[in-house]
Amino acid sequence: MVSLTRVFIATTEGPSEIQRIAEDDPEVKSVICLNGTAEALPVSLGYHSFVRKPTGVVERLFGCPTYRIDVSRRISNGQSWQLGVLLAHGLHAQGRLATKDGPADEVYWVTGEVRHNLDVTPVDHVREKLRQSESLFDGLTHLPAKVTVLVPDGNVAEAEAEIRALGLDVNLESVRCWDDFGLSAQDLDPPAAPRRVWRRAAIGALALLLPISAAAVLGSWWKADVPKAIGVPLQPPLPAATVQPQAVAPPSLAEEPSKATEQAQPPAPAVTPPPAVIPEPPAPPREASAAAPPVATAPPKVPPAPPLVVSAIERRAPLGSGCGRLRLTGGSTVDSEITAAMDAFDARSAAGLCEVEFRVTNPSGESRLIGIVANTTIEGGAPLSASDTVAPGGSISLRVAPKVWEGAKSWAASLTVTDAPATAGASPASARSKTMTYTADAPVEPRFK
Amino acid sequence: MSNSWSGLDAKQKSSVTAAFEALTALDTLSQAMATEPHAPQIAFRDLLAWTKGPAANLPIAYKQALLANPALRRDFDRLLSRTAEWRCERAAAASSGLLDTREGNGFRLRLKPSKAAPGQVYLLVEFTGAMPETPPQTLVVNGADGDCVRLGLPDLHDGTAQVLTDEDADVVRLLRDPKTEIFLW
Amino acid sequence: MSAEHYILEAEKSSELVAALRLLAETEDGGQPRFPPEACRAVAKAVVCRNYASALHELCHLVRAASVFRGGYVDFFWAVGPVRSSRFRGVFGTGPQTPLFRVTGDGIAMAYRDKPFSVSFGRMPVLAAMMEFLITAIGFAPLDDIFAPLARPAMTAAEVSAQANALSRALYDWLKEHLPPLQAQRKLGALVDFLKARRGGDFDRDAIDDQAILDFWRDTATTRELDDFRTFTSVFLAFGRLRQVIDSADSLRALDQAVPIGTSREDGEVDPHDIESFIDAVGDDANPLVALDDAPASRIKFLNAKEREACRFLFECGRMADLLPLSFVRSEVFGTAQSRITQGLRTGTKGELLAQLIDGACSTDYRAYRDGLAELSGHGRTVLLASAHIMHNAGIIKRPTVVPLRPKAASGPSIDNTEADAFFEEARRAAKGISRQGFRPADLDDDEVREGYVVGVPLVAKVTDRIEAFLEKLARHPLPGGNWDAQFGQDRLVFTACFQAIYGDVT
Repeated sequence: MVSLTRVFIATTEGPSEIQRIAEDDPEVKSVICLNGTAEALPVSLGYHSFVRKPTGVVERLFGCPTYRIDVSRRISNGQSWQLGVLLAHGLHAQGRLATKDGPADEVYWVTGEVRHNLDVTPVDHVREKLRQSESLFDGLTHLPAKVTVLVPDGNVAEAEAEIRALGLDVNLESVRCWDDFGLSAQDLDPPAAPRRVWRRAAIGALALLLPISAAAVLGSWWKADVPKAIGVPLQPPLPAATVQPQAVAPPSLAEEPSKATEQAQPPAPAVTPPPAVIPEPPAPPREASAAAPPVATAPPKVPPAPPLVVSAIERRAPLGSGCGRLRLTGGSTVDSEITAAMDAFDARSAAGLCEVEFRVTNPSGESRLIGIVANTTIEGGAPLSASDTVAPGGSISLRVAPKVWEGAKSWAASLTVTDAPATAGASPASARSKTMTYTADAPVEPRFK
Repeated sequence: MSNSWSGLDAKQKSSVTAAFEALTALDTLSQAMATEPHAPQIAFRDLLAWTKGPAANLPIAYKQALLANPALRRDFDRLLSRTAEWRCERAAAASSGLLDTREGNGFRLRLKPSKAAPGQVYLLVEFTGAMPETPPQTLVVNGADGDCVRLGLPDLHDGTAQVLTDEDADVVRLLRDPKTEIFLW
Repeated sequence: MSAEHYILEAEKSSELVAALRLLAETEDGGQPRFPPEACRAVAKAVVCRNYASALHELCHLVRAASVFRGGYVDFFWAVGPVRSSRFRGVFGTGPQTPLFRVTGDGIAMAYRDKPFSVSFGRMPVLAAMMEFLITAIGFAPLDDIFAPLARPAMTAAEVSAQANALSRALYDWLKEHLPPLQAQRKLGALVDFLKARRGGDFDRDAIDDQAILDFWRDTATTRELDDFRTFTSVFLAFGRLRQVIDSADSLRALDQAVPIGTSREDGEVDPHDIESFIDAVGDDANPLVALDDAPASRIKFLNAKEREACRFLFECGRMADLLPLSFVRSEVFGTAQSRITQGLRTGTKGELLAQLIDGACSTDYRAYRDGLAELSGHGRTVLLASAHIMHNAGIIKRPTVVPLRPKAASGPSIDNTEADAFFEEARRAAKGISRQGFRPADLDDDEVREGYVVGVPLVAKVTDRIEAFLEKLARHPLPGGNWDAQFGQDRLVFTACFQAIYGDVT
């Protein structure tokens, strides 16, 4: 059976999956289209030059003068998409390119420029591209497919560094020339290419808190762009989240529970400082659950706890009402939940924002000792903190409320989230922390004209 | 001492008449503008704004106005002719059926179905004459019944601008119709 | 008499009305594209048929615009809100060309036969005229005339030839769309009436409120004199006649070489003189129009309802003072008559029409006067509020002679000892107004600040005028004795007339 490979083009906006390659009429120019639609991306002109002789290499290598590629996300202009596209062409020529929604045995994440002489040259922003693909990699760790980061030789060092910093469980390969792959139409078997495999450090690694909500972990790969199931069941669903006691500084708005998962809560405890670090005993091997997918070819390893899920629940006054009025008369707010991208939430609007609840959820299968501290720029606002032992699927929250009587003003919050295993004697080395920011901007008054 | 009517000479009476006419005409117009009900109508300026704005199909209200007002339609046709640097007239009377190719002054427009994506078609704008110094950025297809579509064109490559669209898009339907005119600017 | 008859009468000049209205209502970036005075200048030029020189200037301006990318179409499109300063900026940064040079106050066209200049100050009127021509004549015929003006080498005489063609095109259009030129018949009807009433040497005093009412009652149902169907049109006609008779002395200054004759269309009276005469006969500039223009328009001193309540008063000018009872009759019963006419347009007839006629009058004289008084009070409040705001913004200082006259002041200024009390009252007045331009943050905008400097004297003018008219109304002798009794009498008369005019509509 032919093994299929899925190719992702690395971009600074996130990875773009190559969904399909098809030959087209020689009279038209090659195009890269978005998701099967008739929207040809601006990079199409560059792609056409990359395909068509005499400037291009694809036609020279694989024979057809015109192709159409469909991708899942826009690719901006530049040249770093070339290596990934050429790899996809090579796989397509061999009938091994995995298509959209189809199965894949292997995944390549690629960046690199290809010269006319088929030399592969370094590109910029490799570290940023890796960071932007973190959710993809995280989703792929639950699957048996081998994941390979493919970069030019000249980008290996920075790729190594970032993979280590992010604690990614991927293979790293580098290439100096296209011929190293041997994926021309004539070749049927790819030769063994030099490769280095990185493992995540078991001790001392800092994990990144990923912006994946509980729902994302339950049902999908990574937002809308992550490929669907590749034939292997996911981990069993997590238990329903339970809201943990939380520390609140200003009086909260009286409203009905905004989430179906919320349950009756014990009284809020007093604010406590973050827990002291507890010395860590030797980390036991992680027990695989009955429903865990079989590990493919990698040697057994102790997987670290999945990153915590940090979200912000924004509570706004309904249209026509105000936060001050709600505080006085009660009533329901309009709630929306957002998750952070990397180390910051997207800039939000302070208009109508009565309160923000920062919630940290434990998606792992073991209890964690979680602490959260929030420092805000709200005038007169003191730092807020909360900590607790959070059971699997549970969460801990902090609420921040701007001064609603003064109208919408800009403010920001710096959140520091720490967590460590809740088992007795856990090593301080397994504690991890992450700081992220939340900003709410005051609305711009329209000028009369 | 006030003027009496009989005290005015003929010249003065003539001037009084002229002034009276002008004043009462202004009054009539002012009163009409203040009291007559009116609904905003599509005017030439709106059509001019459409040609200058972002590429979009002609709004339905504009189409209706063009259908209902032959003078406005005449002005719109003139505006397109005046604005365009390249033009393709309505196909000859002998042409029938749906067209795949339209020949204009110095350019050719072809419709080529995509083999890679059934249901999608390429518009190929090829310059057959001298290559323009400033290539066109806008394609307008104007139908006889007020239907009008405007597309942005990408940069030329090897003398051709290529647009990919759906076979059932308005622009394709109009381009295939021999009774439409094509304008590029 | 059929309903269609009334409708057709109204449609005769509706295209002209629509074209002028479009001019007045076109906006650009939220403000009027054409200044109100430019719109009025176009209307005057059209009705006086005094457009030849404007069209001539426009042709030269179009030729100058041909050097810009996109030609004259893009030039007039891109200039944005039409102001002299914008034209100055566009030409100042425009392409170098041998066609013209930019001077301190305009452009000097270069022709081998004769120079010609167009001033920046005239360009807003010319741009408004261009817009009017496009709507009226149409773009295609206009383009046929303008296209040759882009030729590289032209003489001034050739440009003039195009201007003449343009004048002819407009003339042909106006023949079909100006209100029917029946001035002789109209004037003749008025003169015959007044002669029959007072003899051949009647003077302006023959034109009084009773004469107007009697004339209207006699002629409103006459099919041949459609111009006098509405009371308002009769009031305006007599009012204008009185004005032109009053100003007949100034007509002696007109060109003495003009041959004797009465045919207006033969051009025997110089249209330029007529427009000058209109300006002389007409009242001072309407402050409502100036309040509509930047920068005063940045502040909502008066809202739309308040403007409408006094619009006719300012349009009539001195006529309202000369014939106050007729003016009020026009405001009250003239409005009622409009309601009936509107009902006819929408197909009201039979019993419904009869009910409409009976109930068309929605107000009386007392309520009308009270409405004006309320408006005047609002004007005083706005002035007080403006004083507070201008003082807070540093536009005016205290203690100083305040250039506003509060209602209760006994003299033309407030002395320093009363300044505190005045500014306290002003502060309270400002607290009660939350309109556009009255909020503290609005004063951060320089144009709003300038709007106060320009607009406050205009509001004072509006308020003074309304108060002066109310005083005149209070002193005016009435046949009915007082305003309530007068209304009762007039209501019977007007209702009977409306029934006579419209009662047999089927």
